Amino acid sequence: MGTNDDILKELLETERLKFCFQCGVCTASCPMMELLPHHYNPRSLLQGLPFDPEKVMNGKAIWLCAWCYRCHQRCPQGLKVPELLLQMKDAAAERGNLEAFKEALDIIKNEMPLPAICTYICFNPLHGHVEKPQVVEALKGFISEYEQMIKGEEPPPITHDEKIAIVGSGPAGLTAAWELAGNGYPVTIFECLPEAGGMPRRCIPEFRLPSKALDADIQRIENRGVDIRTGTKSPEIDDLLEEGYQAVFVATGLHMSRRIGIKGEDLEGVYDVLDFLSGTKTGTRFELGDKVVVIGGGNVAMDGARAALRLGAKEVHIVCGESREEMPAFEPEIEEAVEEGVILHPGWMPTRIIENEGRCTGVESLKCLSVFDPKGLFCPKVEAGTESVVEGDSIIVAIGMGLDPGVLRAFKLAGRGTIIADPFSMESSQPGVFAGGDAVSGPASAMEAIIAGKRAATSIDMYLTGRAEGS
Amino acid sequence: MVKGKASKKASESSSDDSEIRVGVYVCHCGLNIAGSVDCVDVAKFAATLPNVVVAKDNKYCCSDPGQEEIKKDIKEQRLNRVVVASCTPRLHEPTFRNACEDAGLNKYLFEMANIRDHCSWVHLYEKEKGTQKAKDLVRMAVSKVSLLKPQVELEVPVIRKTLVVGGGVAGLQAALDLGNAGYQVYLVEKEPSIGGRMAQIDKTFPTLDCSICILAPVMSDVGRHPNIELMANSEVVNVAGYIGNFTVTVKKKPWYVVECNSCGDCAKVCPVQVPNKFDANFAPRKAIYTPFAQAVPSCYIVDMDHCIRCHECVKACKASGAGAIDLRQEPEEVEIEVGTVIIATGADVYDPSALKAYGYGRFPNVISALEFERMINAGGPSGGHLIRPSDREIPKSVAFVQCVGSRSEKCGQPYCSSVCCMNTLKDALLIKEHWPDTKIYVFYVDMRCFGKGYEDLYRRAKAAGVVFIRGLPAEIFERKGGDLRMVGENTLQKELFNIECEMAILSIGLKPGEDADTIQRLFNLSRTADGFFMEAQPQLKPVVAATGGIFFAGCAESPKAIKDSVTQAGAAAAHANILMARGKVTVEAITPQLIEEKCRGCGLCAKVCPYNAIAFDKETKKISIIEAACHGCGTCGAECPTNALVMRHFTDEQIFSQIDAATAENADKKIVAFCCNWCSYAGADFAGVSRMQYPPSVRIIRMMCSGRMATKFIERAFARGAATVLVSGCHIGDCHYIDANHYAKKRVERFWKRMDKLGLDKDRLHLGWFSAAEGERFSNKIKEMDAIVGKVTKAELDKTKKAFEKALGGGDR
Repeated sequence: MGTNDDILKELLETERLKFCFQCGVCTASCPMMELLPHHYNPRSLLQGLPFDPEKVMNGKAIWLCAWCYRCHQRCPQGLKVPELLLQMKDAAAERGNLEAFKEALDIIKNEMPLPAICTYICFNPLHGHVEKPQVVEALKGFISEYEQMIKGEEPPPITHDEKIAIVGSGPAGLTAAWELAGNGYPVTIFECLPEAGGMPRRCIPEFRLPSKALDADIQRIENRGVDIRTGTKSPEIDDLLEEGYQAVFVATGLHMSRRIGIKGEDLEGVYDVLDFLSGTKTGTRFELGDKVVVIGGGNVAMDGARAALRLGAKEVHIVCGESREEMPAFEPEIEEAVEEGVILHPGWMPTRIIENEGRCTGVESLKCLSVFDPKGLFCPKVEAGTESVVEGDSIIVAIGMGLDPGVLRAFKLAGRGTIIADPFSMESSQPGVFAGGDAVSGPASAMEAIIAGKRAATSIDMYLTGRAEGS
Repeated sequence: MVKGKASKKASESSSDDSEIRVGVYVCHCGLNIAGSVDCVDVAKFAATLPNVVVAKDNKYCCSDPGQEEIKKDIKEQRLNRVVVASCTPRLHEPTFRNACEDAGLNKYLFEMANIRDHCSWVHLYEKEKGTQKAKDLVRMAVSKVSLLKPQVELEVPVIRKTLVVGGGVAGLQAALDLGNAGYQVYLVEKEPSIGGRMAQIDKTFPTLDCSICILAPVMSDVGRHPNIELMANSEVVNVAGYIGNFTVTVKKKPWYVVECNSCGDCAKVCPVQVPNKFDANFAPRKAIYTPFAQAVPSCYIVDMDHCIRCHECVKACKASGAGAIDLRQEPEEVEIEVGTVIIATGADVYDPSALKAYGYGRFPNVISALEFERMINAGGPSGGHLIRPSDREIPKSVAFVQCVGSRSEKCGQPYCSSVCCMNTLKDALLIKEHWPDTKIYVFYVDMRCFGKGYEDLYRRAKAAGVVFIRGLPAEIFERKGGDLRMVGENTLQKELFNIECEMAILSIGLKPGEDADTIQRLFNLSRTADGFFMEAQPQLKPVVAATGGIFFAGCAESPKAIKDSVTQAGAAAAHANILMARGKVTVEAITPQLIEEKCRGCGLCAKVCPYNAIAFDKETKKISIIEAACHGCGTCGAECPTNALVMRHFTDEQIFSQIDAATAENADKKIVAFCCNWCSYAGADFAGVSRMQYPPSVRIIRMMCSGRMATKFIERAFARGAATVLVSGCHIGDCHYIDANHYAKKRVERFWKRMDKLGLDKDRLHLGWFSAAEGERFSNKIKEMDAIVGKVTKAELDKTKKAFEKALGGGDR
């Protein structure tokens, strides 16, 4: 067992950690503060670290960071809190101190909406540089305990007459349903895909989120009496209101891949990452060939690359305009992809997909001098004459997601193509209609969608009970 | 160019070079040196060196008894050279030079070994290696001192006129002080009126004085002062010369109005409205305007970027009988000659729109503290009423957010702006004074109330019911109707807050002025990592620039309150006064000496001189040196292919002797570093002052400029078997000799090519730029190069020695 000084020395950014002046911005930005305020407070973790790193390392709080990076985005000192905590987790695993992790799992199971989804895709206990066999064991135990736990659950009594419709069954919609049904509202979820679960169901690879976990969370919501209708046509908001639903929560997510707009995009062998990821889950056969090129530097691109490796691609390359430091994917996601053998080509802006007899054979790109202008807007500058080709038998385009334009004609849309809703109350411009999740915030983490669902549920309850009082 | 009068300074030099007699004094500096260097051992070692006749250690060499001991030895032991091994020459060289002179020894026969800043402080835990290095440094100093020659300094007159750049309160105070002392003052201000930031502010802290009420009299005093020539709406575009003799070109931008009587008839008829920068763009002004009522000079000006040339103003002005408007006026450049310069260019405010979470620019009711000042000011756009921009209602609750653009790596401004806490307290009290029922929240991290009367103001604000919450909002949300919701953590309560306010005021920090780059380049100044101008010595010379004859006042040097700006302005004026009252200044005798018989007349020296201090006659192929114009960078000497220029006090021979001494033992384990006096040597000093530890393998040789760095020095170091060589200087663009460091860069780049051709490892020669504030970068560089030292093979060393063996020959003797 190392001393406190050893633990501190192992910590990345120890130097910068000293500059933390406890402004509380991290805590106030943290979605976990809304869900588990008694168990997790990043500011006070950071304060505790220099004084007693061992206490922090042995605490359960380090296992409750949801990897949304919002604290880092706003921290005046630019501290990467999730990565600091990751190192604490690694240190804890190396020292075999995993009691706290089990405690954390209990808290998640008992106090969080969607405990299984959260555990696998938010808390990511397996991230890190250290093998954590005990964590793998604990996770197995967790799932079976959880499945046991939900078996006996009875639906709460219906105490409200007002019917609520939720459009979309991703983390935001499911959370809102969970909360509202818990409050005694009759809730119906409309899902146009054949199975409930939204983006986690459609695209998050099995190796990150086992279907079993997702099934358990959805089962639990159904146990609360929520009517989940899958494979429905996307309902019109006005129709829903006419049908007697007194409140509607729109949480459709972002299910359209952005098009990259370069020559060759429609060639054979070029895949849209969402179609690709969902295909891998439903068993579609992809003839990827030996070499695969993924275009894009975000978390979804990393998933795409790693899924391609699992389908048997011998070489997977990632090409993106951002430099290594600017890549939008979270650092551990990138590191894990690289560890698995993915080859990165950051700083190259794809300009053309090369064709041979109707099929793609590679991506041509130009050296990228800068991606963002001084104001932080996307405005790539490339160096002419630096054409370089990465060969690929197939190409996966993963440069971002957008709103399905067919679904939501009724809404006021913001400039970047998302629905405008109050970020706190989730109210849209139309009374009784609320919206949240990726469709409002733009691409974000599952935890942020869960918060949106929770906030929407609170607002809908207030809206409906407020009206009852008025009448 | 002003000619320097070469009046010989009494230099009763008694140096009889038939026998060199060196005295070495090793200073303990209390425990600063003795704590990690065995000073007694170093002194013993010094006694064994050639020419050394006295070697002693002393607890404090710089103390009076310490100096007396040196003086006594000079007389009694007939010393004709002195070495003090102590701190940096940038601190105490003048002290010991004076002591030598007192004892009748020419001050140029003195040399320092920097065994504190460059040794004991950076090798705190390696006493043995530190002592070894200190011995090497003493050996280098003794070798150099033995070759030093007595010099006579040139004395140049100081022009008794001064230039003040910037007409804010600091510039005004400095201008008035010097004007009152009887000097001619040129006050250049880029805006159409003097007054600066203070004119924009409503009240001052901590006394809540009316800002413009106390400033306006100063402004008008300056405006009508017989000794002050006010050049508003003007900019400095070129600066030539040196301490005591600057030639400055000022561009007077056109006003398009001459001899205005300020009746204002023109603005009444002007159809163009543009946001008034003076009112923080909150209120409109016309295209012909005067920025505010008390503006000095009191003259309307046409904003040609927005004027539509309708000529309505011209007609109105004619009708009133003045006929003062001339839309065809052209800019004019004037040249002024001054002996001293005061830089009072002020600071800018941080633009919070980059912090998206606070919604500034998107939510109308989130405003900046500067906008608040204009709003609460009776002369401002709302007539002194605090109104919400969204609906012009008086807000019932107001939130102040501190540290917006201060103490933030993310905003690129990691420093405390030092005025915002007090400004917020003052603003909160102003609101309470007008509308006592307003609910006021202050979201802060630390309240810094450190000055006279400051804590009182804090107590007053608390007594008035202002609520202080420790924790910054993470985000501000806009509600329907324009109200705001502040979300953050109350860190003392350890719980989240979610507070509704009708208005939020962002307490924005200060940042270096937009034109700091230009001013830095024009006047050859340095800036700290924060971007503010750097003083010659932060504790003892806080208003003096490293460049002679230039002084700082106000926020240009660092963010500060009005009182501190005025204090500093007085100090800057006093410094300028001292220089000008004396009327003359001596120039260091570090200029080149021409050996005519060696000169081939190639003219390269004239070409590289940054100051045109070498005249080259193309017909006769003869060069002549204009000594008063020379700054002593030594670039000419390094460039001369025939060694015809001898740089006084930094001769080839002297530098060779330092290289040889540095490589006398274990050369293969050493880094020979050449540092320029102003930036990289000072950066190494800074690493010492900050106790940044680095490996003891480096031996630093000081030159005035990296431009002095001749290729032959690198060759010599390699020929002597040095493992690695570092050439370092000021950052490109920051050179104290305009652009002389370019030549160092060129030479090193050529040398790399040569090493390549010779099959040598290029990585053994490094080129590094370090500002005087970059101690950490310097120490990192040494760490990086030390790692390379360990990897250089014997075969590689032998190959290099052979390749450059010719360099072991003589120099410019």
